[in-house]
Amino acid sequence: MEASVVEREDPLDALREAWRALDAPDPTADRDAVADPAERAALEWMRAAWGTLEAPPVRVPVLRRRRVRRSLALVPLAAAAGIAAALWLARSDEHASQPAESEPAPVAETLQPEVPATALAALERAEGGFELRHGSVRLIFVEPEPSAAESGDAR
Amino acid sequence: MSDEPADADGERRLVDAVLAGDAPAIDRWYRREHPSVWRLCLGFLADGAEAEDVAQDAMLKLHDRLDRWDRARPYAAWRNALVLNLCRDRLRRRAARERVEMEAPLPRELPDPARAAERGEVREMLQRALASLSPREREAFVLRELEGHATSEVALVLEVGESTVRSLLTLARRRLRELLGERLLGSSANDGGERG
Repeated sequence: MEASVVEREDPLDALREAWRALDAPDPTADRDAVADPAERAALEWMRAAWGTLEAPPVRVPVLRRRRVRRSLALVPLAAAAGIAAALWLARSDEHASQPAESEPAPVAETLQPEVPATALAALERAEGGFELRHGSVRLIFVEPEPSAAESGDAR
Repeated sequence: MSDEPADADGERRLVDAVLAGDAPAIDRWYRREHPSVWRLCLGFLADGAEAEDVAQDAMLKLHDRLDRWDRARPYAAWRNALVLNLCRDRLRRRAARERVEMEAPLPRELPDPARAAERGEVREMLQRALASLSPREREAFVLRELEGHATSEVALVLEVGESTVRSLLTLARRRLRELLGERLLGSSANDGGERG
């Protein structure tokens, strides 16, 4: 009670009160900062004109991004398939060009490491699998082992 | 604008659907975004024909890069920044032509935006007024004063400080006052009562 009396008598009270009553301008309120009538008129005209803008008719194009991405993802697979097909054809040609009267070589003996690096080669391997070679690249195809279930060993 | 998502979640859901390749969602997203993108292009470029062209380009780029939108940032800020960069690229290519166009004087009286019959003239005047600003002033002015984004958001898009945005706005408003102010005050004094 006593303190409030002292406070009221403080000569700076009025100043403090006025200070607290000050309305701080909103720092984000750029629109309100325009005091000049000509500037305000220009701004209002611009806003009004902006509000009348009508966008041209929308033409939604066919957006194919997803499809394009899928097709791009398939490129390596397609390339691999192409190479495999080429190697396969080369292997077939090699077999076709062999003389009919020649003795078929044993599977294990057809491995020919002296094939030139740039040539396509299809080389048989034992056990039903085979190997395709192009330069330093070797693709080895192996027949899968029959599983226990397939071979009838399952319970 | 009825397709406008009500909130940020709605925005994300729509974007997710677009990214998943949902055709109706893509259509909805495109129709919702295009008017905003076009307006921005018109504002930044101050050229109707180029705005249409760049808006189409911007829509395709937005769609293509939608998966790069950082969900921590407001979508509008991300979109506006992309549109802005495209417009800047275009502006660099046609800087010389713009100077020539500005040499034509403005009419003594400006058309009234409230009159539908004067829409064409209004748009032309608007473009010319925007063209009188420097590209940076125009960017700040369009985003802040015409599109109504917060100063902080404009600063984010333009990659400048908020004080720089305010400076650009002050310069833009001053330039527009010089260009339009007297004409508008004169015309409102002459026929202000008629327009009431």
